[in-house]
Amino acid sequence: MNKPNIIPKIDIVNDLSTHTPAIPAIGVYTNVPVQTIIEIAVDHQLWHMVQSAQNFYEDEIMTSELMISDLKMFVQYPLSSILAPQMVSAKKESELLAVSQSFTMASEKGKVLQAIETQLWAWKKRGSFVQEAIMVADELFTNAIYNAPHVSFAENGPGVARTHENGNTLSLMPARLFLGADSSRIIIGSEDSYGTLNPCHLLKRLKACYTEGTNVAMNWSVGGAGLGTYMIFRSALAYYAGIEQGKRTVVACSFAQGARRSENVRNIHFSIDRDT
Amino acid sequence: MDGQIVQTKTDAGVLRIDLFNLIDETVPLPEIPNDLSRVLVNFNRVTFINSKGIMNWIRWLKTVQTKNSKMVIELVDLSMAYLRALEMIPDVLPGSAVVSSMFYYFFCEKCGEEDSLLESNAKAATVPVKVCAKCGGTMELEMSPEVYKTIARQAP
Ligand SMILES: [Zn+2]
Repeated sequence: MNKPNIIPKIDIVNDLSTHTPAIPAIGVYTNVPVQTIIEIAVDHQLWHMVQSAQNFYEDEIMTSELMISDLKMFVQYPLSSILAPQMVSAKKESELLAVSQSFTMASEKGKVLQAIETQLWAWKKRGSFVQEAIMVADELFTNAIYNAPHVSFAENGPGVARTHENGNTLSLMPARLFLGADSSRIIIGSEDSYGTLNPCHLLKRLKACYTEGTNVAMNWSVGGAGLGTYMIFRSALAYYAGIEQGKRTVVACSFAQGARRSENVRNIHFSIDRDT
Repeated sequence: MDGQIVQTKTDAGVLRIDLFNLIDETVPLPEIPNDLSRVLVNFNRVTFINSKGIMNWIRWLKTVQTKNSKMVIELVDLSMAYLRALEMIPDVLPGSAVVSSMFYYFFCEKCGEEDSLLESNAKAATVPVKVCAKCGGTMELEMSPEVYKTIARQAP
């Protein structure tokens, strides 16, 4: 793995004016409301935001550094990039991986979600967490089938309607959902072969959910992609998206083992490689 | 598991809708006749609602209310999936609806035991305290108490 370059860290309360969008940086903060985090991410194109007062601060910073300096590594080995950013490798990835399910059609959703649910029960996770994790997996699956193949990077489209025809009869390149964990965190993620996720559009939709209310998301007609993303975001400790434009998108969410959801910690990590 | 809907005409002008398992893009919510006085929707067996299910539900509520604004919409046995949706998306519970009962969910941090309690809704409802049947410890409420305050405002 390449040694990450020194990535600037921006104290978003005091030093935001020193950030220029052209130079990728990591925003850091303590106790800043989630809505403010998203507003700053959108308004200042600061796509990595990590709260300092949390157990995973150092790992989260390293994950951001890795995503900024070597995105290919992240999209190839997302689990180790998040859970063990100091030792990312194929070997570590397979140690951390518990479930990997490929799919090309909406009709496979039951099978894919069942595999994840079975593993969560085997880990003896509490029922409320299993429900939440399956909701996240469902939204990631839906994005991979109805959004990723049908939107272009440039346009802020909602994907196609969630119909049987759109989900089962078009020939799609395979996507996959994965689940992994270490003793402190659980990761659920997806990978598609399209690379059409546009962080600007996604973050703007998230921002709108916070600033204008979730009812605006209903008006984005067919997809509901914004609402699904908001629900994922509200559930997870951190949200990661690595995009090789036109080639591949990896989205992942982390959850703290055993802990209750905290309304105060939401880290974001978005990186894009436009030259793939 | 697929989503299922069972409709029962209980009294004159009253329709009961029992929802089962999931509310998502595969489950079309039923057409409601204009001449009903009350629609009762039971969430007891709903274990999963996704974003598309939430959108369908909110649109369905709007359609029903637009057709007949006098029709009472009564929600029964709100389950964890519904409560979680409400926690994130307030429009899941329209201000005009009545909630007659809901579950409380508990978790014991000490021993990992889970439990639930089905209670009828009352305007001055207080969150019940639950003692763990396994270890005797005080159990923690799974959902935010704010959700129950919202629901209490819509007691019958
Ligand atoms: Zn106990």
